Amino acid sequence: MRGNVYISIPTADIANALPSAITRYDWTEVTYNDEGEVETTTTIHPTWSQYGEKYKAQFGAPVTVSVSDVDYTVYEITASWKDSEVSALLALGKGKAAPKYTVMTAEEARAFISDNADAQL
Amino acid sequence: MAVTTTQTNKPFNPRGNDQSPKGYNRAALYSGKALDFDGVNDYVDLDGFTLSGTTATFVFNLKMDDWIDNKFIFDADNQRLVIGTGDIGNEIGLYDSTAWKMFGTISDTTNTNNFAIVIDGTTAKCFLNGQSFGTDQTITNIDLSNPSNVALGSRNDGLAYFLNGQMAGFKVFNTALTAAQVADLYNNPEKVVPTGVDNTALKLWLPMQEGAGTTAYDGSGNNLGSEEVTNGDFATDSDWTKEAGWTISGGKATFDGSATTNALFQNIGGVSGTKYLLSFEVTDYVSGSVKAYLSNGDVSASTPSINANGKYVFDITATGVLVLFRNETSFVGSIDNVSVKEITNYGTISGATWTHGIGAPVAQTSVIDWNKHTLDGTNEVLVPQGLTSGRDLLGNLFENVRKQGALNLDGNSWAEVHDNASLDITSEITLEAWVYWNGSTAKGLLGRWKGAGSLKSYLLFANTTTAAQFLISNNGSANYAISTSTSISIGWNHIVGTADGSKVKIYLNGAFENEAAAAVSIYTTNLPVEIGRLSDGGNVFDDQIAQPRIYNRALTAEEVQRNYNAGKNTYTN
Repeated sequence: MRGNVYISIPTADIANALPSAITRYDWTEVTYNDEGEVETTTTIHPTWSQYGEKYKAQFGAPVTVSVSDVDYTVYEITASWKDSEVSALLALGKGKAAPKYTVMTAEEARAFISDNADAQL
Repeated sequence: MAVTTTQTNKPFNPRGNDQSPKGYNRAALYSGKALDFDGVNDYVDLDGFTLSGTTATFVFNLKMDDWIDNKFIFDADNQRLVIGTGDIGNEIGLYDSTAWKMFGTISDTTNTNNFAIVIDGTTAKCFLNGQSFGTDQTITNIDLSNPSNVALGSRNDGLAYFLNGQMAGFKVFNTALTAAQVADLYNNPEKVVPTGVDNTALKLWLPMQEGAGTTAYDGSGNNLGSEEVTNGDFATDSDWTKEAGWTISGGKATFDGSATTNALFQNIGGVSGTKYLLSFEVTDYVSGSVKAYLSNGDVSASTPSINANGKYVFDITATGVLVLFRNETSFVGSIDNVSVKEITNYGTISGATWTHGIGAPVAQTSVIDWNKHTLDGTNEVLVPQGLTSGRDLLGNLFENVRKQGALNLDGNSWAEVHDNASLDITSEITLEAWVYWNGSTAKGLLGRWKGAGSLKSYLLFANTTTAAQFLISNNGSANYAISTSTSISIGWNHIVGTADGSKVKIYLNGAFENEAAAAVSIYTTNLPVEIGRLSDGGNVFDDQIAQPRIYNRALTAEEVQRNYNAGKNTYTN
């Protein structure tokens, strides 16, 4: 799967949840008793960190880079314009200077990561 | 440019029985499939891969979208070994734990190229499309005996230096291939291992032809652990725990259809988080459904509901110690031949996406059994074959999946025979093939026929759901003569088109069907002969084709009948 947008989240904020308007990445966690019967059912609305781990296989690894001594983690995601999901992502960065909560294209993300990647081979 | 041959009165057959002179008409198979890395955050995790010794050969097909600096193709840590674009870019080379050693410059972003990096102690060489490339390099002895992290398409930790391009057919040998062996491998894409090299030298082979799922499977034969299930064939009524409704008798386990959630299970000591290949058969199915688990009932480690006879294969990450079959909805049927083996060697895909149409040739052996197994429970994917053991990932002998010798095409794959003079037929011609007719329309079966550029010559074509056509063109642009069969049924059919200089005819299953006047010279082109698509690259057939043949004469009705009779007991429905 290829996401249609990328967003750079300050790494200090990746414990925050995804915007509430984006529910397509929610999942249900079920626990079972010893008889294999359902005991509890919980819907998880993930944090950015949880999202990155859960959907790494589909979207690729969250990549962390450093810009002016501030770490940013770039997440790849599919978000709908029609259902205002992209708007919700854009709203995260309202009033903030790039690259804080900045929505990027693949080409922009590629350049952003390449330009700011860990210099260590 | 056409290659001249002197013996043209021979059919060709790309499935192991090529009767054309010196194999000129051997077909190359193209899956067009690959893994696409986006250059942002995609990679394949190969942690667990090891290689002993200081000799190695890395072979891969690669189409790069850019060759800028620090794009990693392969990377293993501890004693670092990187294959990549170096720290300048537009080059290919390796990092030998001390410095980048670059073979030469390259910036091709148009073609899929085949690379071989050959390491023999302190000497490293590069081959491009079977030919020596650039400057040999002196390196530090490699040590891949115990890497902590290994990755394709990024730095070994999966956090930086991401590849931007498409890759397929990644192989690692534990020996330094010779130049002749590298060329042999490149020139004969049906080979997985070159002549003179033992199968056991192949330590990793990721065909990357699955086309779905998040795992790149290893076909080297080093991919599965030992059997975890005891008495999986239910030869005796032992080793399994049977809840009410389950019985073991007659070499199978049967459930009686009662409306309980009772289970049949065995403690195999499954390790949570470990990926296993689970296979079993459902027989005597009557009604209801059943699920299999590698857990004590956790559905995240279960198969979808199963409600039909058949052989089922899944890869499942265990969350418990049991292999368990649980009645879902009043299942009436039997379970047999249960097998659970740990998948020990594979690539875990992170973000890289499956793509089609890059045109990279693939080993013939890797397409025999593709799209046959629902390994992820949803999509049918290729199971690469285990070379070392001579069995596929399920334990089937190669011969079992090859016995009919058919190209098993999936709508994205095809085969082609390169242009040569034996194919420039202007007068009498016969096109012949066994085709598993599936009702698909407007599909190329066999021929040289390109609408764009007016390069039409001759063609067998699946036209409608029930009709095949044989077409020739006298000038490259017009469909000069068409003969259409009257009715074809789903299943194997023997289809033959002939042109004798005055008429075109079509035969179906040994019997004459139709004809049209055609007293012309057939147009010649430099196009390859395509099997399973048109020369434009589209109209790709999505089922089996066997024994495609081209003759430079018109077979008689008796000969067509004879050929049909020769194959009718092999290609049975």
